[in-house]
Amino acid sequence: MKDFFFGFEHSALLWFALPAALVLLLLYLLHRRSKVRIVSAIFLWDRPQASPTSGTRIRFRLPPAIFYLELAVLLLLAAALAAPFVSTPETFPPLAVILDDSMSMQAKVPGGKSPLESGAAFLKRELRDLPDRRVLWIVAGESPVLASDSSGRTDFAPFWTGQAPSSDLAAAAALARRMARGCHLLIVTDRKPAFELAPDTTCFSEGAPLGNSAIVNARRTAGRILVEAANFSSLPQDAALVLEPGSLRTQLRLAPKETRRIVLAVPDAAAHDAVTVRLENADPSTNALLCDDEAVLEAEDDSPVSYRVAAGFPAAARSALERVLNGNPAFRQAFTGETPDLDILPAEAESPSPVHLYWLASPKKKATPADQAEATENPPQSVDNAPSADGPLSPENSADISRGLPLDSLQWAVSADDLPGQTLLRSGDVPALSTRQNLNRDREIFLNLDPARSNITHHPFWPVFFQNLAQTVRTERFGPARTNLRAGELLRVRLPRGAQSLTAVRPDGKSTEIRAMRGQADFRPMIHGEWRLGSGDAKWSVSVMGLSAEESDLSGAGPFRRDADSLAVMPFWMLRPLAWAFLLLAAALLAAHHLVLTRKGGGPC
Amino acid sequence: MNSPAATIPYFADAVERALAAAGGVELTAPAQVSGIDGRRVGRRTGNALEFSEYREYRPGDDLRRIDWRVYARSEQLMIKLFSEEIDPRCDVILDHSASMASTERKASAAISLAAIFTTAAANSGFSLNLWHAADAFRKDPAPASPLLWDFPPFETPFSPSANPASFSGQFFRRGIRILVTDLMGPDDPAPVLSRLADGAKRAVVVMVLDPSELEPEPDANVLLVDAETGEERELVLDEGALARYHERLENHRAMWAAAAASRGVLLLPLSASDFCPEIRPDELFRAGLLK
Repeated sequence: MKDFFFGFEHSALLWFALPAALVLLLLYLLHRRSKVRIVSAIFLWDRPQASPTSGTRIRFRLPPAIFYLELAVLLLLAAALAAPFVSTPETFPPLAVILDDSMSMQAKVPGGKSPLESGAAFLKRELRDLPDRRVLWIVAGESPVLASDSSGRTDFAPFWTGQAPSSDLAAAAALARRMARGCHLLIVTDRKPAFELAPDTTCFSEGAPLGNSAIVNARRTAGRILVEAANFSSLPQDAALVLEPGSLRTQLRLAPKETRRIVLAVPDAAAHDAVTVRLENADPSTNALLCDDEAVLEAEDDSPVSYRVAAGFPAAARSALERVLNGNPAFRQAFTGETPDLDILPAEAESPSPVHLYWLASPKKKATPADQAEATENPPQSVDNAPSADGPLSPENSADISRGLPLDSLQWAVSADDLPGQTLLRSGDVPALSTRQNLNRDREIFLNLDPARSNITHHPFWPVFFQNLAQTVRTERFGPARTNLRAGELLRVRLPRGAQSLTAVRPDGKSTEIRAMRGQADFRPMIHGEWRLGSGDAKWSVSVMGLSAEESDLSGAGPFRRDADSLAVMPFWMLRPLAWAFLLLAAALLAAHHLVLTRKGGGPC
Repeated sequence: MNSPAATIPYFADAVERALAAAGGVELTAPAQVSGIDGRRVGRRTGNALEFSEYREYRPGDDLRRIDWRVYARSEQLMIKLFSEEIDPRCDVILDHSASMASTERKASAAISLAAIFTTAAANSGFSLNLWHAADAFRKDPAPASPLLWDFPPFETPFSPSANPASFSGQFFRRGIRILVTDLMGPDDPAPVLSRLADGAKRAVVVMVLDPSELEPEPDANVLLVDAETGEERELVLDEGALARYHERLENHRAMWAAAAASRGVLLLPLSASDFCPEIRPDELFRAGLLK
């Protein structure tokens, strides 16, 4: 048998070399690259070699050596484009081991073995007989990851932990096929895969349809915790929900296949701390999975919004602001030197705050101080005696800031003819309220309102608008957008001004550096537990919960064995790409070309 | 008449520099001695013979030259030697082949050399002819006035050695003949040297080459074009190619030197850089051409 053979995957692309070579030749013919030097007698110089019988009527000038160098580079590039390969025979094709990394792989009865443990033992047995075989280890979590590509490796415990909230075995198989064409697959899971297995695929499952009760959902908001507890067994379960700190117990009796929602109050002492909710089964033998019995919930950030009111507002506007901000506990005035969460400005200006409220409050026509004072002291009480409004108010787009704003009997008078950004509220034809995000990802809110000609300060619109504003500012603060999320969910972290990256420390202590894009870092935490995030001096904690109703429901698990039809010893031609070698050679020739030109005292003219 | 200034823009400069340099110099006449030297019998008669000196008789000397009066007085056989009075004549031949203008410096140097020789000859009172070896071999009507020369451009597609027949027999007899050329031709030197030396009292070939021909610089790809034939050759002027060029040039010069020596012709190689832009005629003095 031949030891190897050589070929091109896309041999048709080799034809590209022909026009390229022709173009190069034409360049040499049409654009003479040699310096012309008039000499007295050419016979004193080298003569071209010619045989005594040679001689033609038409003389072709042979191109210089660098022409052949350039031609070789072109041919090599065309060859690299055609994807050259060398094929070598191997006893076995590569083996791709797909490890189901979902939580259900940890399910077991007391004293028994989990599918993960059984699968690990099976793998060690199987791989012991194949010490030299190339093995690709692919961890199938929410998205598949190639963990290792080597020969003889059996130490898979570091990357196979069984903590993912789900597993996509089909995507993992596709990844394996892409990474090593012609490979055989070996899937280790806890149930029969939902897709059709190819003939070259071996599947091993030692799962069992065990009973399990679990917390499948948990949320914390406004001092309350919503918990969804489920019983996936076929028997009723007695359990207790325990809230820490405080060890507050709530007794439950869950019917078979029942999912129940329970609302718990967060103790005042833990209002700003993390709390843990734990589901304790009366009969541990009916609870096969322990990792879904606990949820840690961090406190939501509901601290008051710090604000700063810039100078330059008309007296009526300043008075209206003081009235609404001082009366709302969701706001507090920023300390001296503190970067406020909200900057309230009379016009567009630079601000370090994440949210800017630009209130264009100056009257459209120049108003006298006496008029302003009168407007402040005697605001319009009704439509009848109020200054005339500019037009009917109509909401245009929906946003948090404009949600639920009361508009009945509201008198609105605009100060400017237009606003930038997305219009949320329109007065007649003129935008009255708009919002946009600037290049720093700062939220900018534009309010086009002359308070002197409006009844806004005595209208419910005003406090509701600022309540919405407080909620908006909280979501725009620097830090994670959420403090509690499920494993695999996207977490968006807004970084302080100037920060380039986010450091995320996983529950197991390993840290990851995430680069920021426009002041924002996005990532998907896959391991449940408490993640510590940091950027510069700022630190945050988020709780990642491994809660998944699909994974906690073990009724679909079961033993399954399937051997590949072709796992016997057979020759297999392994294709190894060679384009890199061609490119390397082309680069070396180009370097030689450069040296030739520079050593000869100048490049082509 | 061709206007040199119109066809050759640097002509006037070269001539003026030559005239300035040749202001006080004269062409050296060869002090040949005619008579019986015991090995050959001179056949030249000359216009006048002046007594020069006595020397002892050697076997083979012409017995008619023995001064019998001296023998009568001293019983020694003495031969009377006479200095031949040279008729001061000079032919200057300038090669007009295209290779003479392969560089402006070389052409300028050739013009300067011709002007120096003609001016020096005129200073010495020589009868003078200036020959332009162009397509046709042509005598200049005003050889002693370089600025008035009827000067064809350097465009002749062959060198004098390629067309020895054009060397007419109109040279002065027993005069000095000076050929200013670059000898850059692949042809046999014997015919042209023979014609130059035949009947001349002294024949000189001044071989002027440009420094770029004597010591060419290395370069990348160059297309060499023969100034006369237009033949092209593409080369990479690396060290090896230059070494081979030097070897060929030396062989070529050696061939001409041997051919010249065998015909009693003085071959004087010069660099154009000695005559353009400044004129340093030291070599001409050292060779005994000028005084």
